[in-house]
Amino acid sequence: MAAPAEKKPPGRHPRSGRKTPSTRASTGRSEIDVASLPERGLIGEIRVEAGPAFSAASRLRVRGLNVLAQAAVPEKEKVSITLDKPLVDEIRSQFGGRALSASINELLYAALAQERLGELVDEMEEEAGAASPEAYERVLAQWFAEG
Amino acid sequence: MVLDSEGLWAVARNDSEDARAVLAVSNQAGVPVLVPAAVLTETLFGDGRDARANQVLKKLQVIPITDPIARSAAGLKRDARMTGVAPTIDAIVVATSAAAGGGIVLTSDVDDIRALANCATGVRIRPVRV
Repeated sequence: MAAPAEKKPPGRHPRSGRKTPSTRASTGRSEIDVASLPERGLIGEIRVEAGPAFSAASRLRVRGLNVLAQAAVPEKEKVSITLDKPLVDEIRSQFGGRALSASINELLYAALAQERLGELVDEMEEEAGAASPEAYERVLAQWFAEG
Repeated sequence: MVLDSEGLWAVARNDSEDARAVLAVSNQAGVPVLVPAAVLTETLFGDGRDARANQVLKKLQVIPITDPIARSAAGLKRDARMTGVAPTIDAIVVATSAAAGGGIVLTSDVDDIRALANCATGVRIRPVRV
């Protein structure tokens, strides 16, 4: 779980290996120059840099909206796992006084939800093709619209 | 990112390039894709016609209508000067987005979603047309 992630080849999806948009978030910027997207090449080369507009994931977790984590109380299984100490320290810090098991449980639910979303995107693109650069441009213009 | 009824159908039918773009960006950026439970009531038929939507819903997060979300939706309707049943699910959609900290709503009803979103305080919610 805590092993360093392998560096993925650019433009390849981790599961299918197909060429995918390299659109991704970083915390460095909160604005994107949508008008420049076509000039920045094919959608596979476009890198979206975004901050607050993409930060709902952590707020969702903090606000306990992860329905999978809180829907009915599932049966529990006690397991023994070994994690990197810095990772454990950071989780304890991020989740305050919450039980470590509950915090890791919630993080894993969120990770699985994101994995399923990736599968859905793969399936949709396999069926109908990836969205065009123009579609990304339309969507991002609305996503970052002012006012 | 929150889907309203048309947003969910666009994803289920997979006939919208813009919907694919929104999901791909959400995936790459780690943004959770949420479907308020009330949207299911509006979207589904309750029979075999739901097969495609049900397949999609397995991959998304359905969010229950909690007391705070329901009350927030009522407040949004009031502030947006909307009355009656019609805008109720739109208000729940926007209230769910607000509870998640804001983001976008994938919708065909941009005007109503924007009107409600403008009444949500402390969060930034943008409609994206599908």
